[in-house]
Amino acid sequence: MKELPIGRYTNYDTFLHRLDARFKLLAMILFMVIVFLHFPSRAMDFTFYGILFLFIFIFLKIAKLRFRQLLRAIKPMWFMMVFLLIINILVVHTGDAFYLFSFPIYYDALFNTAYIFVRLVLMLAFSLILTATTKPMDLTYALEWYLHPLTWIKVPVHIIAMVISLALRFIPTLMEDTDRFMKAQASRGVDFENGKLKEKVKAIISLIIPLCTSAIQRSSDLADAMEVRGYDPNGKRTRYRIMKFTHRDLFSFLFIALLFSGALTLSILGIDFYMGILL
Amino acid sequence: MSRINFDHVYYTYDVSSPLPSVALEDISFTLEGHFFSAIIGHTGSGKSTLVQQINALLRPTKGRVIVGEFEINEGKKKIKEIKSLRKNVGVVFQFSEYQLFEETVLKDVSFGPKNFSDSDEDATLKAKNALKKVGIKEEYFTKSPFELSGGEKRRVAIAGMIAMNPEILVLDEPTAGLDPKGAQEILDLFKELYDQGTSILIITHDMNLVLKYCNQVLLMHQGKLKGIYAPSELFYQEELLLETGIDAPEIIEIVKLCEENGLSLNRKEIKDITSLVREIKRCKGK
Ligand SMILES: Nc1ncnc2c1ncn2[C@@H]1O[C@H](COP(=O)(O)OP(=O)(O)OP(=O)(O)O)[C@@H](O)[C@H]1O
Ligand SMILES: [Mg+2]
Repeated sequence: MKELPIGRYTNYDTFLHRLDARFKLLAMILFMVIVFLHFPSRAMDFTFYGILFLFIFIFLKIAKLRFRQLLRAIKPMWFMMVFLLIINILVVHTGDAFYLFSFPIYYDALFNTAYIFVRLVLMLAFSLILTATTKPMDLTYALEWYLHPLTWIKVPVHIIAMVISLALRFIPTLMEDTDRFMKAQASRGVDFENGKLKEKVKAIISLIIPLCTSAIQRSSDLADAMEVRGYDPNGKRTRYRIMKFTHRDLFSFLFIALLFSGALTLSILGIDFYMGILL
Repeated sequence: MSRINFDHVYYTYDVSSPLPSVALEDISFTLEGHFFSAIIGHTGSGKSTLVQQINALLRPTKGRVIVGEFEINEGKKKIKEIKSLRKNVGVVFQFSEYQLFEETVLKDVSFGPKNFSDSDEDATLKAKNALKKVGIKEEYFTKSPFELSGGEKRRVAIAGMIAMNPEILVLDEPTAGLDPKGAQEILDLFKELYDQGTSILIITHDMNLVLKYCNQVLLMHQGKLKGIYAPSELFYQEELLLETGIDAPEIIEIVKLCEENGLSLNRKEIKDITSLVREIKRCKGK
């Protein structure tokens, strides 16, 4: 339980924390696009991945996040990666190969796996940095801001945003509840780690049922509390916190825009720094 | 004979996270023999954290806890031992009414004994006894626990632990949210269990109950143990109470007033209104 909150918001006051949530969301999307851009050669691809990793490293440093957290987030992926590698080795039969105990292994298979792995790690890292430096509430505001044009075609954007922010708000509560119920049932002799299938099922039931009932109870309480305080889903909403785009954001935006357009240009024009010498 | 020993226990939540929070600092004490003790302290002082060390739901970050023949330290212990530790020390949690999940009250209460490999009949028998003890009537046995009131649910949850017949019963705020009469009844029940040989450790914010029922008080303050006191001493130490944010029971004021007026009361004897009146009568009678 204690290990779960990966990418949880950290309450520091750093440059990254102070950036506008709307900008951070956009920046993350742009970074993700760069991750999936195709460059004319593998050397170029991996050069860009290297640059992105450099950025991630700098961001982690600026935001006072620990590199260990990222490693912990990656850990569960090992099994998947090994699996993927085996599949790739069996399926991909193009390009050059070398022989391991007279079994042909193609370089393309290795590269394919490396691509998937690196891209996943990059995506994970960027989203982790985003959620660790942005309050969930600000993130929903940002989302609402981007979705705002949809109100013209009668999509109830602020209701959706409210639902999202309530759901986010309940995550820590539910985790606390889970922790408490696990301990309570453990005191009654439930063993959540060992035991036969039947005992395991019983253990899970002893956890799920209290969780569901307390979640339903809590949400109905919350609904009442909102109603008595005059919440009207269709009313016009004003905002307590006004988001402001500052010089800091502008500067960062220009920087990211430059990086993004540079990467895009190189990709579209197919420019290869290495003139095809490498890989 | 029950024994709980804390040996320089530290506990920190989220040790490896960017925001660790120290909940227990250098706790050392021993509870021995047959006790009815209370843990008191301001909210957030680490009471619940302390209690969870006793049946290894949390393990000390540093130091060790010894309960009977079990030792709980930072390392991992085999599951079997943990299970028998949990059979010996029953912990009833704060807001225990939310942990019920079976279809009927009776089934829920017999869930614990069954987990400790009692046969179905034995478990049901123990459950029925426990339910009677906490004052749940027989016609409720086949009801769904979700149809009960909050106070009744709490009693059922407590029965769930009593049915396991632990040597030490630990309760985290068992009376919170109950009406005064309900709280009295629950504490009377603990007294009865105590008289039958169970050792009791309760966390409570109700100082009247502490004075009336407990023979020992552990006072927590900001993650540290201030000391172990007899209730009849603690509640007369104004400075200590002020520092730790504890309000003495109102009856203490009356005792002080009587003493100012020249009555030499025996403080040890005064546990509630009845005993106070008896004490005053004794003094006046002289
Ligand atoms: N799951 C947790 N994660 C992080 N910190 C926690 C957690 N549970 C408790 N704490 C912190 O540990 C400290 C002690 O908490 P604890 O629950 O033991 O207090 P308490 O004395 O039982 O309070 P109360 O009377 O309100 O129940 C508090 O400062 C609290 O913020
Ligand atoms: Mg508590």
